[in-house]
Amino acid sequence: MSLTSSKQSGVLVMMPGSRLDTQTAPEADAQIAAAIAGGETRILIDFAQTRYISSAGLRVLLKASKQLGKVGAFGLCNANPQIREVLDISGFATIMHCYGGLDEGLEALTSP
Amino acid sequence: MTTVTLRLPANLEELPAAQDFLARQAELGGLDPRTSGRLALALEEVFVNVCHYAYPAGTPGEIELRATRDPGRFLLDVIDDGVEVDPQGIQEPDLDLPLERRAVGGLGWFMIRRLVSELHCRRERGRNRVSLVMDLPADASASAGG
Repeated sequence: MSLTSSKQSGVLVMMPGSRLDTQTAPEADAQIAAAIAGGETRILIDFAQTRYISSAGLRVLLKASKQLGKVGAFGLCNANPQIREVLDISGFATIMHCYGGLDEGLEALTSP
Repeated sequence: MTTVTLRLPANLEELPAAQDFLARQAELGGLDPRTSGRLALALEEVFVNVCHYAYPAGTPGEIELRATRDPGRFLLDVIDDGVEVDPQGIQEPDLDLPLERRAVGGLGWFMIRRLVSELHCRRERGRNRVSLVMDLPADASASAGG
């Protein structure tokens, strides 16, 4: 499994492994697509275990964010400095909701 | 100046081997983890581009990596014998566009340019050569000498 999922306060928290890159992105993409197809509308990506993300991983995030943007909520949390730097360089930090810790992300995604 | 070369099949499954090679050479070159990490990400983007575009599906090919340790800088060349690829012609993503209008692709080269100190792309004797250059802080090599 590329992503570990858990439902918390009505939000699906999905945690990638140590790398979200060319190798792992296709499965992550499939898992997120399956969750959305299954009716999930609030998804929080928790980077607590992730230390590396490439543009392949960013594309997965962008796709999910576009799909949920109008009908639900999508956010990121627990980005370490390396992940944060890639989000900044790519411009994703300005177009995605990036929260500090898991609690902050959950609170933001559960409030109407 | 020290140059170390590795040749790999142009196959996405070889990417971890390419990144292991870079990690070792970067460590020998005294790169700090942050600089090394930026270069690893740039390498992934270039490697994936070569696999997808220089060698279209089903075309076997090779990628040559050349790591050069110079005083004050670290150079990684990524060389292939495939179709000519001109990254200058690839449109940059418009970061000001609202999310729903942003293209999902076009991000790789944009990120590569911003990750490295210098980027050079050349066509040489029928080969594509992408040079990723990282400038090292002046005190990086001096600190070893105390």
